[in-house]
Amino acid sequence: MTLKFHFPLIIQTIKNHSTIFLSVLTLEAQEYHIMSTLLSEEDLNDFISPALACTKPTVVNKEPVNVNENGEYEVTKEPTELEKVSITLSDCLACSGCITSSEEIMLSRQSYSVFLRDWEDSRATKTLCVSVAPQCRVSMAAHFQMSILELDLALVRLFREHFGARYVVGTQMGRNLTISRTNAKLMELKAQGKLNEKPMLSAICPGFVIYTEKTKPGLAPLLLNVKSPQQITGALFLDAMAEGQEMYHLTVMPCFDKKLEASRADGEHEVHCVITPKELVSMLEELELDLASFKSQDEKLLWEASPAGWDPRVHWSSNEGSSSGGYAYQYVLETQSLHPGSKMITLPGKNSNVVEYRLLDTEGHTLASAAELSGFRNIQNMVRQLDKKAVGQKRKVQVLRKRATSSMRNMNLDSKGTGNGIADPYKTDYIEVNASPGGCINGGGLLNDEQSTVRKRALAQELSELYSHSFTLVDPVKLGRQQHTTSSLEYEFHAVEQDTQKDLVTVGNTW
Amino acid sequence: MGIKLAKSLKLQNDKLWSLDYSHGLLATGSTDRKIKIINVTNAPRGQVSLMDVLDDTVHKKAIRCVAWRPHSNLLAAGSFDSTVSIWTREDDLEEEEDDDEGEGTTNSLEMDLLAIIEGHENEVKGIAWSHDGALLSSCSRDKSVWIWETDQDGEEYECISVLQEHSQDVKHVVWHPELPLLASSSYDDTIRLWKDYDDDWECAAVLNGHEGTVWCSDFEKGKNGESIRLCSGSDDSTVRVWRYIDDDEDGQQEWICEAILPKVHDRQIYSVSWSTNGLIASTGSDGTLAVYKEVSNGDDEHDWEVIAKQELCHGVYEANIVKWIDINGNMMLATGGDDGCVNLWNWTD
Repeated sequence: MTLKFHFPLIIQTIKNHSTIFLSVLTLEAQEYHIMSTLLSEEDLNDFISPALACTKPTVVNKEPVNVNENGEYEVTKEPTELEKVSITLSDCLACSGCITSSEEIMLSRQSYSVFLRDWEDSRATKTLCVSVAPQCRVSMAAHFQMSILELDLALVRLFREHFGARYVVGTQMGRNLTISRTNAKLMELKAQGKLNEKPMLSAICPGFVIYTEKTKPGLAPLLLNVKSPQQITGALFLDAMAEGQEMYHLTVMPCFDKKLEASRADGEHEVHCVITPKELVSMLEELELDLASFKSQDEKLLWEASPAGWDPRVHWSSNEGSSSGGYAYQYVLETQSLHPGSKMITLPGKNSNVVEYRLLDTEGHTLASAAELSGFRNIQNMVRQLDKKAVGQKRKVQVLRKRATSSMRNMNLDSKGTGNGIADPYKTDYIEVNASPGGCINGGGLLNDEQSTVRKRALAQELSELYSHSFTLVDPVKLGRQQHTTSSLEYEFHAVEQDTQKDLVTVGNTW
Repeated sequence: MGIKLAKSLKLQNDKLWSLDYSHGLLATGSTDRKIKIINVTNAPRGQVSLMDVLDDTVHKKAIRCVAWRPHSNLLAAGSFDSTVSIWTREDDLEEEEDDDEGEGTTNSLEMDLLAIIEGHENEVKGIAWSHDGALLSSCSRDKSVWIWETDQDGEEYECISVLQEHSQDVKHVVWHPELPLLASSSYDDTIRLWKDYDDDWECAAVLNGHEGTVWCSDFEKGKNGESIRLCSGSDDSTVRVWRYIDDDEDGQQEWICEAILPKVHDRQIYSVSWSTNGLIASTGSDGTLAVYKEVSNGDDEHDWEVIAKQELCHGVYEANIVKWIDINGNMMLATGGDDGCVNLWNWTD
């Protein structure tokens, strides 16, 4: 769907009594009705906020210049109506700036209201497939005071009985593929010596991917091109469709940025609607449904809700490593299995949102390493480290002799392999990057109604603990290698050209 | 008791946005992209000298703010080109800790670029060093407040927090003179207080009350953390004084608006400064410089009174900044305006 904007001119006085003209984007009010009322601007703080200026060029369709046969200009009237400009979600994803906020468009396109409406329309012709991310199950189980199994069964019954879903699954099958492909690619790059200079960065967190594409295009080549479990689960569902069967894939994800991921051109057919646990709870309230009334003891239901060949003991499971997917850990773990006698050590980072796994041989040399890094501040420092190149040259920074080498320098410049006990993420082979501090288990779409930051943080910590012992764990590499899919498991990244003239004056700007 | 002009210096060819004083030296920043360093040791007697003009090709746009790092000779400058530059005096690299006296004997000094800090998406509006010089905070039109950690050299900067709760342009940041407490003022009409919880900086309080952009705030000094107060100036033409009351059970700070100072200004107030001896100065769009004093009113009550007022302190131009400066025990006021001038005012109690 497309939102329409128009561009009235307004006058704003800025400091110094001068007057300038600004273009203002105004959303047409009637386009808003499909947005769910539940979500407010505050809910959408997915930790990396968009830039202020929309850089989509506003093409004005000028009337053709009227030159008559004699080569004379004919004076015509200026068009009185301003052209309506339509901006689609893909415009936003391709843009380095952002309109009032891309979230509004994202929401209007992907919300539970949209799901309810879409599903009403296509119920007769399409097959509803539902997938639920493990972080959401932990969050909802805690919220509804159920065990994970009770919750899974209740969700299966809810989606099958109320909405007529054919399949309801966990996302581990998708994750198995993400992890095994990630490892295979990393090991190949490692063998070619391509990880010596800079690490590869995970492309699992859409918040970070979009941030990179839009604002740090120089780092886009470092994104390891393997799709997230959300998208791969959709691809696996597609494979499970019979000839002529059309899928509608609804997925429950821990953060709002996952909606943006689902809207990418390179994965649009894989996921049709993303909702968060917050929205799911609101949807149940609106429909006056009580999840507890869908409780069941009958584990056979899990099998009945799985496509042929999908073992519910696998797709509802999880694996070792971080609560965001364990990609960094699994890479080092698999490398370890290829080096008998090697030892994996865990190094804490400068703050709790950085950790490194390092694999050492018997003599203490580093064989492989990977880091988990989350939160905007850590992403900033990482970006500054990895994208450093030009600053010195560009700015003629004086290189001055130092009195002493600072401790910080020591840490950052420490060469690979010297185990000094502190994580050195920029020197590893691979960084699992997440925009939310603490990763997906702290996603903005999870059920965390605590008001104060202190309590919010405490609950996130509890959920993280809960996550670590809620699931049966599988070996994602082994399983992933046995799974097959016909779809591409790679994105098409689009580093957005930086507008060199970033002198846009935007709404709300005064000196 | 009053304000008397000691010296007017036409320093810049365009708006003078910011100034900061330390160890006898005044630094200024302007739209003309020049940062100038002035020796004002003898300013109470009307004598000043230009010490250095920093490389004006470093920043591509206006210098919006300048700040000396405490206990060192580093200067930070924030620019509309979205970066912060760090400058050092080369001759001081060899020295040990500098002493407080003895400046002003040389006639020139040279400052070199030491580092460029990138991170903000667009115009940097304010910068401030923590009292111990370990942390640098910056704020921007991108609505965020950043906190950077640095080492003794001040050459490497690591981002330790990005605070994004303001809903609009952040105009100004200031640290408490003794405590790890930061205040930011914004176009969203609020002031936010930030403090360190464990591992990360979090918003500790939101001060609501101003009915327009808050341009500036400043903490009360010399209380050794016994009481915390903040004054603020706004587009709504008022100066307000806020008092910290207590922490609630969730670690959030409770603040109250304790006073609205007597009305002097009839336009935007761009700058406020709280002196070490308890006086508040304000200036702004109307070019008026006002000084307020807290006076006892019966038992426990206090009122604020306007004790001095100087109209048109930069002629017909707007005044952008005011700061109390203490030059070897002489209290002075320094103001900067759109006329590109720094005016130094003698203050007599």
